Amino acid sequence: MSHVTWLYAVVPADRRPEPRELHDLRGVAAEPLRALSGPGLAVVVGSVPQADFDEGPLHAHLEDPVWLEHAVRAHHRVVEALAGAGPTLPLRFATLYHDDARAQELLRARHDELTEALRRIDRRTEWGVKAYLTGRPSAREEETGPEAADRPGTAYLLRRRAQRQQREETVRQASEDARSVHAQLAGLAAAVALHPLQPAEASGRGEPMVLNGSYLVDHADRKRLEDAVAALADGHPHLRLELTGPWPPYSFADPEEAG
Amino acid sequence: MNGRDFGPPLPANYRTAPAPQPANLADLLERVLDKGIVIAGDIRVNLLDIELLTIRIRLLVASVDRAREMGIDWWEHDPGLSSGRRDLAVENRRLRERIDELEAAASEPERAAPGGRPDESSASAPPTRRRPPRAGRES
Repeated sequence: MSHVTWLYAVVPADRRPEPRELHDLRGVAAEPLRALSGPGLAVVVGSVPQADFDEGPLHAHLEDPVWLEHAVRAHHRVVEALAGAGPTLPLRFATLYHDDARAQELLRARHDELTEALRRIDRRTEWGVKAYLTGRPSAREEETGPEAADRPGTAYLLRRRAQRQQREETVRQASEDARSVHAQLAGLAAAVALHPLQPAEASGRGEPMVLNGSYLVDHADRKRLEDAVAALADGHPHLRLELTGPWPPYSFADPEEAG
Repeated sequence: MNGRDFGPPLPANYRTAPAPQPANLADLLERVLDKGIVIAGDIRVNLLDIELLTIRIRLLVASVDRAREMGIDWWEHDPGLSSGRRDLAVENRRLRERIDELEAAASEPERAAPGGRPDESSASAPPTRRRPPRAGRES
């Protein structure tokens, strides 16, 4: 059975993982992993069956949510393990070469850019902070005055309008607060990235999300970040802040996106 | 790696200690599929094509994640139920086709608008698309 090479992450050559460090890890096709060396850099790869990972079959797999989730988690487990050991540049999911030589060629061809990206994320971690709008004030929705007995329809419309205005004001205020939270966290970060807000169904929370940010923070500043999040949560009682991480620096790996 | 409210630090040794909870899948998808350094490999897949799929997954998996946290994951091993998931791929394709139709339909009235002047307002901004993951980045 012929194979192609799936790339997980680039690391500095002097942090190239030993075979025993990769021994317990398995990749997206449950394959064992190995490190390939280039000048000053190494890339962790696995050999996956061409029958499953050539363009056609791979595309078909990507359409299968169960397969995709499994593969995404497997890719992440590898990257996360590497990031726990040292500076690690995650490669975009589904980066594939026909063979190892082509993957090593990449390390030569993009040496400067990859080295610079590694330098940028060295001794830093990505943290996610999400904010949800919580405890929507509902008391004021009743404060639209007594219904006029002779004009119930008008009263109803007025009440509805007041409720809508109240909702809009709440959301506007929450967005402003989210901007302020983001700005203060950005002050602690070497770089920031904003992700699209997740719908309530995806976040698993019933509350609307108003901030979905990533912050690249020095290892040494972890405590400062956690304290800042706690303080911001205290200062914004109607926002629920959620801190996730440490993440491998996914959001800061690509120079174009890290800007 | 799941969201937490300032709990104790995660174990430093990820290799031997599995994460206490799996990362929230929506968080994971937006990073693993949308981020990471982009290299034009030998085998090209357009991850933009699966954008719709991941949206569907985001909607689907939230409940899955919650159930799994409670230790309910039996459907993952039930072939009967897994095959039900394949319908999702079919539905995904249908949705995409439908969007194409709608986009095509939406652009037509603009062109056909009577007396419509080709001023700035009709020359609306192109639909914002994210940078294609693999375009123009040959290694």
